[in-house]
Amino acid sequence: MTEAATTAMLAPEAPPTADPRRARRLPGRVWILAGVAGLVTLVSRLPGLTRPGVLVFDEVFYATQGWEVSRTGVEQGSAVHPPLAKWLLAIGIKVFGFTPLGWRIVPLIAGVVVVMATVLAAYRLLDNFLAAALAGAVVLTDGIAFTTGRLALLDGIVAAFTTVALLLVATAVSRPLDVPLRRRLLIAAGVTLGAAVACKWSALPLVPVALVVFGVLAWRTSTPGRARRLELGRTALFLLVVPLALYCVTYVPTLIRFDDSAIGREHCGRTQHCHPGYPERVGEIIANQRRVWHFHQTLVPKNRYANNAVSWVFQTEPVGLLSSSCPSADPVCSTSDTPSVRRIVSISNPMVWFLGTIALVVTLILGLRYLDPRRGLVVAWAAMLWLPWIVRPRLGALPFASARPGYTFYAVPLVPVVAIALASCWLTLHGLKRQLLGVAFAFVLLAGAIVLYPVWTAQPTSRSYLQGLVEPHR
Amino acid sequence: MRSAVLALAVGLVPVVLGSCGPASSATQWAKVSAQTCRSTIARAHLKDASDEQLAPERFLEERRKLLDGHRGFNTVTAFRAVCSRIRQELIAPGPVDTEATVP
Repeated sequence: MTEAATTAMLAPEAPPTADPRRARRLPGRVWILAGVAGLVTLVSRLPGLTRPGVLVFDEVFYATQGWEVSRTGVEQGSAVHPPLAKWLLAIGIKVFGFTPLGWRIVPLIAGVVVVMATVLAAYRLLDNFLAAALAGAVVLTDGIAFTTGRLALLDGIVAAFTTVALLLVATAVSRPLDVPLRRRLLIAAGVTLGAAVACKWSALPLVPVALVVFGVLAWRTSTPGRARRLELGRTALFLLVVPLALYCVTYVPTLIRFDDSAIGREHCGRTQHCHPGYPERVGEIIANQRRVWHFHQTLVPKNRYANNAVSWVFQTEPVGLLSSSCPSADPVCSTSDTPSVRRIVSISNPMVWFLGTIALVVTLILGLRYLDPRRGLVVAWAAMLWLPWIVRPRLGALPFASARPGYTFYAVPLVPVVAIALASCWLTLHGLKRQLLGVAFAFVLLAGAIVLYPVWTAQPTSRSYLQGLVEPHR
Repeated sequence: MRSAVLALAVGLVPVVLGSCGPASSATQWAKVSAQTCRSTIARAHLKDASDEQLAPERFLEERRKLLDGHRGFNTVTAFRAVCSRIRQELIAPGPVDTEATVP
């Protein structure tokens, strides 16, 4: 992947315009489009956000840990992901209390950020207003993005950071000769990617992509010798040291409130040495990283929804986050419910994902054919978010990769690049064909969203509603 | 130097967050846990638990014991322990199923 991107970056580019500050700005109508897309996202996801009023799926972990952070500054129960996303959940809980709105408001905002950043990144990469709108519409109507944008899971928050990082890298790629802008983007990308990794390690493979992109740009725009070494050094500093530093910073509360933290409690229980000094605390936090790594390496999910990421193509194994038969004493049900089932299923429109996968392959081919850095970035970004989950279950025998499968909702950070790949392929069409297929695709998006909306939002449906689609095929 | 100070300030955000303003009470957490437990029991097609069985105080007490133990515990231990006991009281063998992804 990175090879494709590297090759692509060597392609000739347009000369800079006379006024770089004016040229680097996005047109006002693109900002309006992003704002409208964000608003529609908010309006479509806000109704019923507080229902069900119980902890759904992994909210039992993350909402609880967010609540612990809001009270003590640290997670008190053992955690297998870094703390940053829990900090953000804690802000919502601090403002609205330990209520469904409190633990779901931040994922909602993160979902809005994902859609808006997708529109802006798509415009940067495709330079076309309608294509940017199409990419935004794909994310807006995607079921995985929709469901994770309404629940206190970590993946929606990770996606917000990774999509903003994509926007930053895309901006650098689209303005390769603008060195001052690139330096600012480099810092911002380092911070954003660091934040993503500090939410969940699954964002880590994106760092090498950014490193290659900014590294090639630095190489090309600097003169050989000391200047080039400085530029490359700066790139490495901001994309390796800054994310690492930010990651470490998220453990400062654990360092301070060690005795009350999960890591401190585990240390106390194991060693009976319950009030260690700061050097020992640092050592224990590092040792905890190794234990978490080992946990992820050896975890064999017992949950029946765990799947191989190949199934994401056809959405054949969606994750059922909730399923309640109504009427019953279940608080998920309403007293007025007729016999029905209320479900939350993290499923996207299979046709969109199938076409999106084809679009990624086409984008790869076109990227290599035309040595196009923008297409190279899209494919590289997608590969780093998707391939690890395909490859890992097949590399179970190797020490660096566990046999651990994933879940469909791990794909949220992938949705924006799939959307941009689709819009990119649509742009390769011309004339009436482009218009007709654009309208047809918009219809597919809308129809899919309307049909799937009840199972994204726990609306009462008949037990047979979409039965073959929303239940895992096994 | 400026970056180091900034980084430390960022790192202190949760500590400040945890220290200032009204904290969301443990009672609220216990109420939500009780409701979630009621939901898992209903999904297991068991008879409804009584309000006494699902008293938030049971969840609070379990969590208090964990915190006083000064040992590591799983985030969901208190919830699962109480909810499993309630299920047992309803004569239903088997661990509670929260359908969560990690044990």
